[in-house]
Amino acid sequence: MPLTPIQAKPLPPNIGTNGISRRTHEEHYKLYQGYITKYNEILGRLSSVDRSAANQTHSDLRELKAEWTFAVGGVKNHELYFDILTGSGGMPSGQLASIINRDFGSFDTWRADLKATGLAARGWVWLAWDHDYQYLFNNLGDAQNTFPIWNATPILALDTYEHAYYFDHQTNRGAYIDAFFNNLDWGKVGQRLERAMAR
Amino acid sequence: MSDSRRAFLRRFGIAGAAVAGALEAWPRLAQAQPAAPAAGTELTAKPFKEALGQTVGISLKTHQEHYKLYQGYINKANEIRRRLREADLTKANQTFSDYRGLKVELSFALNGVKNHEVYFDSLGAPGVAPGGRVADLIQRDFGSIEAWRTDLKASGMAARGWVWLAYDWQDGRLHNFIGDTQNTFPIWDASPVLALDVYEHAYWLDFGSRRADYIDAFVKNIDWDTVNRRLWSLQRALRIRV
Repeated sequence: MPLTPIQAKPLPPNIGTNGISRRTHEEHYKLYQGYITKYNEILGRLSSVDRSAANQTHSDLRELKAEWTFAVGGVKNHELYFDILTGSGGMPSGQLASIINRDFGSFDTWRADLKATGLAARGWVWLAWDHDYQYLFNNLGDAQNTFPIWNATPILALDTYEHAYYFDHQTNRGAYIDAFFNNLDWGKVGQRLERAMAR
Repeated sequence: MSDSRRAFLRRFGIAGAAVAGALEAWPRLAQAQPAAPAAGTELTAKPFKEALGQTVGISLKTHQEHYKLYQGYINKANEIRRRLREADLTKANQTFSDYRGLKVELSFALNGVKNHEVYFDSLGAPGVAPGGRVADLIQRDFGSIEAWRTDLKASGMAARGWVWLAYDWQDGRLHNFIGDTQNTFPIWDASPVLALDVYEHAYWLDFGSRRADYIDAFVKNIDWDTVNRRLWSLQRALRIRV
């Protein structure tokens, strides 16, 4: 059963624009479409690449496989990012709230940690559920494919590439992260946690 | 029955008794769900897998030294987790800050732990043919065991650190992913079921620079039973659908 090409999901029409402009989202969405295109291109080339020439210094297989993880990451990261920005902020409830309290101490502590992690990252912050150790953690990444955790499911993603905020906030990344909080759809984040935990 | 499993059963509307029977038919990993590393708790190293002494071509000495590196990742993960609790959030900075360094290297240490636990689980049963659910999925997703093996070997020659056979929860398939270090390039929402370490420490004592020979030996020593159990422990959803 060969892999089949994937298609871009639409940008949610109700994506939040409280401090993050529609123009930012629309330009950002084009980058996501680019990852979809490259995902499919790599997929096609992997089917016929010369595996006998595989080499760790340089080979077509190496480049395709390494950048495949970049494309896969770019797709997954952005689908999560756009999906959870259809709300109006506030606070989580239910199981998500209780697990945030358990693993971070309080919602405010989690929020401060997410913001600090966002200022310390060069690309992404992911709030992820670790299936091995059964806990939530704010993970940091510098690119689409650094540094995810194996056997863990991100339920919230904060893009800290400059393209995510430069139109609206220029160098003031902190203000962008504050705006990010104000557009969060906690219902969706909570559902994602429940699905991950039910696995 | 755990809350999460109950939630799953509710979601799929499956009768408890029938499912329980299906689940019992499968072996369990000794520690499918280690204790949560909540604040104040520590990760602990799993014991050295005795069956590693049986691998053909990869020496016990190699495994014993390798296990020490794994213990090192456990120790560093715990050290970083302790220091994170005391780190100054107000100084977080992407060019350099203690907070940044700790979080980046926690991903290195934690993946170092996970990678090696999967690696050691992957080895120790020389001469056993692939079978079970993993073999079925490999055939489905790669076309044949041979095609998968060819891709695994080539990936091992193309990588600078790791090859993972991982189940991606979003597309529902197995893939051979490559990595250059412990934390590049894992995949979110994906679970490795077999891991091939191609750091030099994995083969230099036994093979010198001949990585291809090491990979051939790796393939011949795969512990398919444990690989299947790992897949099984991860996939409640697939368990039910079998």
